[in-house]
Amino acid sequence: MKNLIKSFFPAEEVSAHCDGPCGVYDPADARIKAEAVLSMTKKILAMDAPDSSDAAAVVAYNNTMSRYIAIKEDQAHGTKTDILVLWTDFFKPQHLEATPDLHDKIWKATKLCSACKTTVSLESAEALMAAVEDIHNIFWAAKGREVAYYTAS
Amino acid sequence: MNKYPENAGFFEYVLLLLGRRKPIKVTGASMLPGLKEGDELFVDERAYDNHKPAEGDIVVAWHPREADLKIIKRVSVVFDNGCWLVGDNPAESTDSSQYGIFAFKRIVGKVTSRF
Repeated sequence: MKNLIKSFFPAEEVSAHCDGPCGVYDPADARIKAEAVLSMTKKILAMDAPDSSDAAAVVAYNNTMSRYIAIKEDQAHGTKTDILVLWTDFFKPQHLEATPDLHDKIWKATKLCSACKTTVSLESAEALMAAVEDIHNIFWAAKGREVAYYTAS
Repeated sequence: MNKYPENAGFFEYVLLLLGRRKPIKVTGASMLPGLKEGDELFVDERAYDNHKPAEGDIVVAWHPREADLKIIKRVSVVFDNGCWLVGDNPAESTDSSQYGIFAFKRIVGKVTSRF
């Protein structure tokens, strides 16, 4: 009886979603933070240690270096969070059909965030940027839109 | 404690035949744990013709940005000009915390029962 009623009165779908239709996700969040990680990594590597007898220069050096490291830590963690949010909240099982290795890509991208935190590695920072660009392309393809990748710096 | 729609009784089916109930099907996870993907419900689209929604009502509303997209949420607070709608599962809900108050005219109807 119930099935008969359902066949005569097909149910309209209503969304209890939180995802793409709202347009509240954007891999640009991760990209901006990853750019900051790359920038800080470059700045740290470019720092010249001062003469240890120049106390004022040592203080200034330590202060600047600490700030660069703090920002790199913070932004690398933020990149990881942004990527994980896309993974858990935006991407749905059907997106795996188009990108079967999505889980692996996300895992490796977030591992790179960790590598950028624990080391000062230009290679890791550049690899993270490449991973974020990859996620950008997967994300917009999943939404059926062409959005060109760009960087702010 | 959130209340969830009861199973439709005979009267609800009569109202369906009279065109006073509309069947809907839930997609998504924002109304967990009470309403899950695939749950089928009846909606009274004239429930709020003569009075405002009440806090705790589960309602169907037009999405504020996406044309032709209806969403299902719970009324959290009723204001003079509309409702604050939230999902029961805030970790997976896009609702008034992003969109603000839903004007009354965007509220399509009230969920009355499940079938």
